[in-house]
Amino acid sequence: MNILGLDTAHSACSAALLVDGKLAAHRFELMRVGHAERLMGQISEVLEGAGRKYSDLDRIACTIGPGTFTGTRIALSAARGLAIGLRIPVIGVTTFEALAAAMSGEGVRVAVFDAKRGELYLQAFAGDALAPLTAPEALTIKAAAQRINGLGRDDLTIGGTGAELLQSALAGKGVLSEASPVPEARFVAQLAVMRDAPSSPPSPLYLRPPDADLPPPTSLKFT
Amino acid sequence: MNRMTILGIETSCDETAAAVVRGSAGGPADILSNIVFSQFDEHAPYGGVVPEIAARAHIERLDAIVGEALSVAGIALKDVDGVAATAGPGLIGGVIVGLMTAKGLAAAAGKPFVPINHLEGHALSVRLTEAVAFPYLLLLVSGGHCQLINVAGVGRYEVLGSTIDDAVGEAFDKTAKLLGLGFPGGPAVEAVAERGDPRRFLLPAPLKGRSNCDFSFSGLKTAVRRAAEQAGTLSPQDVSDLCASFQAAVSASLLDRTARAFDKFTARFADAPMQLVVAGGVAANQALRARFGELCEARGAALFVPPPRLCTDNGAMIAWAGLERLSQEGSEGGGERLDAPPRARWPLTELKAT
Repeated sequence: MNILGLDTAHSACSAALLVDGKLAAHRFELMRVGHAERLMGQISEVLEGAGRKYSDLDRIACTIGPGTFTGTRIALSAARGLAIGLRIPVIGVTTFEALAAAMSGEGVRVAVFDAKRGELYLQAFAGDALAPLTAPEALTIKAAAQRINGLGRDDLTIGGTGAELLQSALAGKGVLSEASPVPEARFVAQLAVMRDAPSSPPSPLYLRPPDADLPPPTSLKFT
Repeated sequence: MNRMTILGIETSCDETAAAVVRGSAGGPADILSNIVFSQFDEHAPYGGVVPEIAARAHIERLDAIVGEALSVAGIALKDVDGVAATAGPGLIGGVIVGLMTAKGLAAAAGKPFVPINHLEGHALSVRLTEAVAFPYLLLLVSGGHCQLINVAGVGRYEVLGSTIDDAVGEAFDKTAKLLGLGFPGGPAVEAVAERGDPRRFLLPAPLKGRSNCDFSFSGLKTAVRRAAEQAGTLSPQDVSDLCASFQAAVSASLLDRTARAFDKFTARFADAPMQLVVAGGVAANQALRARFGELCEARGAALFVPPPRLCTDNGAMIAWAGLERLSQEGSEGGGERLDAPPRARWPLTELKAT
């Protein structure tokens, strides 16, 4: 089975091709902007690198967030477009799962992103099986520390762009993961190997509402 | 000339749209499908388009809209000769959804991808339904744009004037919001204005008499607000009269600016017949169409206005612009533009003929 993994949800752009469960080719480049320009090039490079064509793909695995709103939609839109054209399923993987899959150890894996504005995106998992211990959430740093303390566990590995922020709020508890603090497509693809294909393509996981203020009522009077 | 079949995708504002067009350069062409989903309900509470809400709605709906465009056209993706999508200018979050979906579709099908400037889509849309030859004068009037342009050919645009503040469609939306008429404002103001007296309120026709071809609608918006406040408690007739007066001021300004552009067009293309094309969402306004008809008759010019469903944002005009570009380039030119960037700003003058 040929699985294409994609991620553009954070400050990296990556694509990976898994052939029968093994990593055949991958690209991972750190970038703040430019994901929309680079992604398709990465895809064709990993396909060529493994001697495969688009039509050889069996499924696409793509991160669905949380991440930057616009960045998350870059790879997911491309994945959905490819899926229509190739008539293959898209499997959505959260950026938390992608981070946790890159960590090691049987203890608690805490995936945490700096969501700015004094908040963290947070989810904790147990061991290699990535059994969720908490739901995906956007929390203040203090509330995030409380959530993790509430697990009553000391065997914590903390990874992601919010790892240092969370660890200091936990008074230094846990160890920082050595894996990439942003998702990598090779882990995204790996996570899709065992999953059931959904009947419809996945939607983004934003964890935050859009910024929009309702307008003030008009000051005019009407009969 | 070769006939081509192009899938076009448009997501730069609040319309999620896909269409299939078949024909050859110069037009007219067959619109095999033209699916448009307008996000009225999503944005109505805000009285205007909220960019992040628009982008979220685009990604939820676009692949179903693309599927519908293909099935209504009765073709499969492998039957198209290219995939075109708006790459800007517009709300960047939405542009990215359409652009990346189209790149995915094109790559999967092994067909050329053609990034299209949204303004070029409007500029060429008239040739989709009528074989209008170059050059022509284009008045582009929509919620985001207000420009007078000499269209000398595909990729050959000379901007004669632009708005220095609000776009004209924006002025309609803001007037509707002020008077509690809902969103989108254009059709709401037009409907109410039909029952109104355009001479009841004296509103300024912005920039009328200036020698350039620029527009301005910010001052008119303020004048409408002041007139509304001075009128006290507003009856339905007062609201109708305000809308009719506002629409008359907009018409007077657009007509005066366009008449200036006629002179510049004639000076630039001495031997060409005077042709005016009015496109963009505001061109769907019937009262404005009538006024432009009078102007063109008085000046001996031919007037072309695309049908309303091709004036508001749609995928057919993007597919058509893709077809005109692709047929210019030939088979070797198109295709490998999967690195095309999304652009929030992208003036027509930066485009080139191929």
